[in-house]
Amino acid sequence: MDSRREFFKTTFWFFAAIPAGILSALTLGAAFSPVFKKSGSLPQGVDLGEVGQIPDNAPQVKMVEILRSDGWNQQRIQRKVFVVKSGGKVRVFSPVCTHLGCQVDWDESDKKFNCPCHGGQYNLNGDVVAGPPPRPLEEIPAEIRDNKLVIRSG
Amino acid sequence: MLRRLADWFRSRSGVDHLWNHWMRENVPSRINWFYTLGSLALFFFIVQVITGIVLALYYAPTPQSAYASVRYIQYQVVLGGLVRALHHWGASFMVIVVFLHMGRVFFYGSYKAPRELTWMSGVFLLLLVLAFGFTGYLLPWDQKAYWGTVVGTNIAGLAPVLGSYISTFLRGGSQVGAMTLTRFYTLHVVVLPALIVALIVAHLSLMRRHGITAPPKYEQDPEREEFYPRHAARDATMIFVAFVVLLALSLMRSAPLEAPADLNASGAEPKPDWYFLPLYQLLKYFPGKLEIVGAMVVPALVFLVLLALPFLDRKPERRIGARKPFAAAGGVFVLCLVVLTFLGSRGSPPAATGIGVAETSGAFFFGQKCASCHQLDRLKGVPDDAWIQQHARDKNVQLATSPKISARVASTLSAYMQARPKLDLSPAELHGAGLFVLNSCGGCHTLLGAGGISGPSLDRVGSKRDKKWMIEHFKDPEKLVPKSKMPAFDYLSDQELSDLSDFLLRFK
Repeated sequence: MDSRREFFKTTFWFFAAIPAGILSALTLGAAFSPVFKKSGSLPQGVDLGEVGQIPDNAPQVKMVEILRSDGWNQQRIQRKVFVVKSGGKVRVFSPVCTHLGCQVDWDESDKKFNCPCHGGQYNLNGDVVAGPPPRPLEEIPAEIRDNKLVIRSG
Repeated sequence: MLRRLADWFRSRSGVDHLWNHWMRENVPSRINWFYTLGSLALFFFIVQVITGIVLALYYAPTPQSAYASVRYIQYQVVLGGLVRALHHWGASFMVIVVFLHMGRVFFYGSYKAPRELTWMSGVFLLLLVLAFGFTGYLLPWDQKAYWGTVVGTNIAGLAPVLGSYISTFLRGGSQVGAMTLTRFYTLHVVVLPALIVALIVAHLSLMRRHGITAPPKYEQDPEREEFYPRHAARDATMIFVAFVVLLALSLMRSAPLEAPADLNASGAEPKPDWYFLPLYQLLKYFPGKLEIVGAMVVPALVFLVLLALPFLDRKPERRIGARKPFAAAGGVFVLCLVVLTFLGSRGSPPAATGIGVAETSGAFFFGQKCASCHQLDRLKGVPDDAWIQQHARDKNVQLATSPKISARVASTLSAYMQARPKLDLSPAELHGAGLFVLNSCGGCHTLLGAGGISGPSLDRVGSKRDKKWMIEHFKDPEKLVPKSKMPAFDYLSDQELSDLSDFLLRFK
């Protein structure tokens, strides 16, 4: 009698667990789908203008058009970047603070990129000089072609 | 440590009490596999809730985004197609299981006193399950969804006195559109789930309060045992098997997704999901003024009879052999459902004359823009939209009309030309179709599921009126229909009124 009872108990938990497990796996897989997907990035070959026209030690704001995939929506949006010429090098920085994602701005008097949210500060090279940011500003790969600054890869 | 934590949780939460209440209930030992159907219905409801939550993460209820978001779920979301298929087929499984569960209760006479309220709450649950089906049908915003809802909400409009208010309320306006989508979405994911959860709790509590009946032939058998583990194991086995079938079906056949909803599409056949086919088929047997009988009276009567069943069949005897009139009525009812579903699955919609708004508009534009040069009888093949637009821009073609033919007009023209072999409109009717569009008759009247609702539907006007009546009515509507709000069309010539009548009288 006891073994029969144990058999029914095992049957119950076994057959209840399988649908529950499969359903959980499927629904969690679908719910976490965006985690497995690659997000949008800057397109290649965007022309940021003549290198000669970029002033030394004075970051310039440039707008770059990117194709943004937002779920089923695909839209062309303008994204801000900083173009910095310093010590003979020209670099392109993302304006996104590496702390919690606010937009930094260049403070000409202070000669620093300031983040308005939590006081993060970066110097002209994008390195952290104050506040909580854990990393330097993200540098967007760019190169000079025919004296023009061009974003290199996405 | 873990054991102590578990003991603490059990003592504080009362989970043991809950387990004992639901799983250690004393049930008759003789209950059989048919008694698993209630648990199975509950399981499918849980499947719908879980898959529905995942779908809601990605779905956007606006006409601009609904279809694109469903396509995104189907093709871009990891496992999205499978989750959508589980939701789609799960709905059908749930309807089947609910019907089977009701069949078991009916067959065993389990609805009899003191379980009347358990049965009645079950009938309302069935209604809610069907309401889920109706509201969920629109959400993909594809052709089938759109036109099915146009017809469905028009049926609601047939209700006496309040009909137009009900359909306008359901649609959130005079047309199926953005407001309809947000309303149906809210009903589907907020209102109906809240109602059904409350009703399921009531249904289960009532079941628990009055206990489960044994099959009639074991009614006198006093042997009882706890639900867990033997009967619980049987429920779990049934659930497992049914889930495997659902999963296999979902893996083999994805949920359908047609072309996006197109208000001017020709040939859209508004057919409901299979569980509404009996109602859909019933409508065909009640044309004209009797339409309300098929659309409202019969379904309402069926619902009321189901609801009142425990009070109609009051004798305590539960064996089916001792309840022959009810057994026979139940058998006839099921047979009717099966036959109507079968016939409905084969037939075409009630008003399938093969001409829709696009074709009507196309006929008008053809008369305006093409007929002076082209005779349709001599046309070889049917030009598509792109060709028509290209042809209109072609500098080598002497056009009698402006070269600007918009994509919409081009699509109605090709819809008309494609439908023409089926339509066979006479020149007078063709002219009448044009007058129908030119005079914006569709602004107030519905024709084949599209148009306004402030005037009566013209879908079957041909079976109700004759030509003389039509022409007189156009000239002075109030003379024939007191308090009619329709303006007089006395500025149209006799010939034009005759042609317009010829066109409308085709709709029978």
